[in-house]
Amino acid sequence: MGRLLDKSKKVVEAQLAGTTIRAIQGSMIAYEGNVSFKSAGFGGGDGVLAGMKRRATGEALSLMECSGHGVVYLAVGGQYVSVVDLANETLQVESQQLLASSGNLNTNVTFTGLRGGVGGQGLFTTTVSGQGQVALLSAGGPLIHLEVSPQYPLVVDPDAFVSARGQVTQSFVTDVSWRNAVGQGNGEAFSLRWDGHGVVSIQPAER
Amino acid sequence: MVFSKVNSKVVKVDVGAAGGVVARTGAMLFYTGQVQFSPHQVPGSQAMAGMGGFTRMAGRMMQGEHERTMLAQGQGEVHYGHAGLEVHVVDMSQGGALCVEASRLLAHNAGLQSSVISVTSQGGGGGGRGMLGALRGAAAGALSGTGMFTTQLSGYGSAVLLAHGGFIELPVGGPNPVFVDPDAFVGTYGSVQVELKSAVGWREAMGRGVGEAMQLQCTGQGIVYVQASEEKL
Repeated sequence: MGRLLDKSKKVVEAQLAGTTIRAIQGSMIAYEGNVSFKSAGFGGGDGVLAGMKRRATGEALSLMECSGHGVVYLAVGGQYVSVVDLANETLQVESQQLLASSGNLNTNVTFTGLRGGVGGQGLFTTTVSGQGQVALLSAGGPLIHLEVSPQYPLVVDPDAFVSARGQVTQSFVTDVSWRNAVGQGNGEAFSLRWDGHGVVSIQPAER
Repeated sequence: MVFSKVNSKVVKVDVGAAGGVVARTGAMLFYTGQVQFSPHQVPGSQAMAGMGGFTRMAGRMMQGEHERTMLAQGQGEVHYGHAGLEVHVVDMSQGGALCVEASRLLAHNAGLQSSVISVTSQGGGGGGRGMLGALRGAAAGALSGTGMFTTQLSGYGSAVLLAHGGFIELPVGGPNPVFVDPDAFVGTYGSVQVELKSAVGWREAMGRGVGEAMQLQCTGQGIVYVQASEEKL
């Protein structure tokens, strides 16, 4: 399996030895060796059914497959990157923040409830599960990891949410009052609430 | 090195010790001491203006490869920065040639020789490629959007480069060739030849490409600077 490493704060280095990784289309900034790039196809490498699901839900991923022998450097828009190791775990992630994945990982789209149906974040989220590594993007600064435990549920802004791992469930918090109705809202009407055990990662910027 | 980084986006320089500093117009943030700023021109680019015919055409093509610069002289310390972009100081005390787009050059010692060269002769290695090489270089520049010309600095001193999203330095000359996305390419130092390579296959023709059809192949000995973003300056 291709290995992902942090080359710098903003660049991911993927080492390929006859292996394949998947990454956002156009995110290659440089490579060494003999590497070929091709579109991961309609389903992003997960088959036609997954592709149709993505198209239908707006959680579309334009991925490319990088394969061969050598080192590929990946970056998007000067955003910070972090590499997360997954050992038969499930990670929920905003599809546009998923820079690259390697190893034996499945991506899927799941219904997350009515969150963001009004907030514009969509009703669906991408889940990554299996064994391997993913590289996440974070705008504005490095990812901030926040712990969630039963006593301490966490509420985050949907625009800052990047990923969640562990046994966490999400719910949608609204704080809509007559103020929003008359255009006097404070811009924080919708929030994501996380309960359970796990880690939620956010970025220090709002999309 | 006379330039030192204050943080990732600002450099300071002792103008007296540097023997004058050439920098992008407007990039001065503040200075202390007795420093005079005067307009500075790359020799040749102004003389072209009054001429006609082919020279003018060449001059116009070269215009993209020229930023207005200013010369700082005197005694004191000047701080430079531009548009919140990250800076990187290249130490050229060993000599050698630095090739970089003019738009990505923030400042350099006045003692460095600056010239606008055709991309085909970049790195000093493409001398004998003739007309075909020149045409190929022109096509490469036009296609990749990096222009037909690039700025070459040579001599002893140091220069400051600009990039969006930080730098990585890749050594060229190892067992593996190095390929760089044209939008992420910043510059090269040393004897590095850059050639556009297209990886266009039937997928691109069918509109199913992955946005990596054009790549710059770097060969030779030296360093290539790459930014962590595909944003042009």
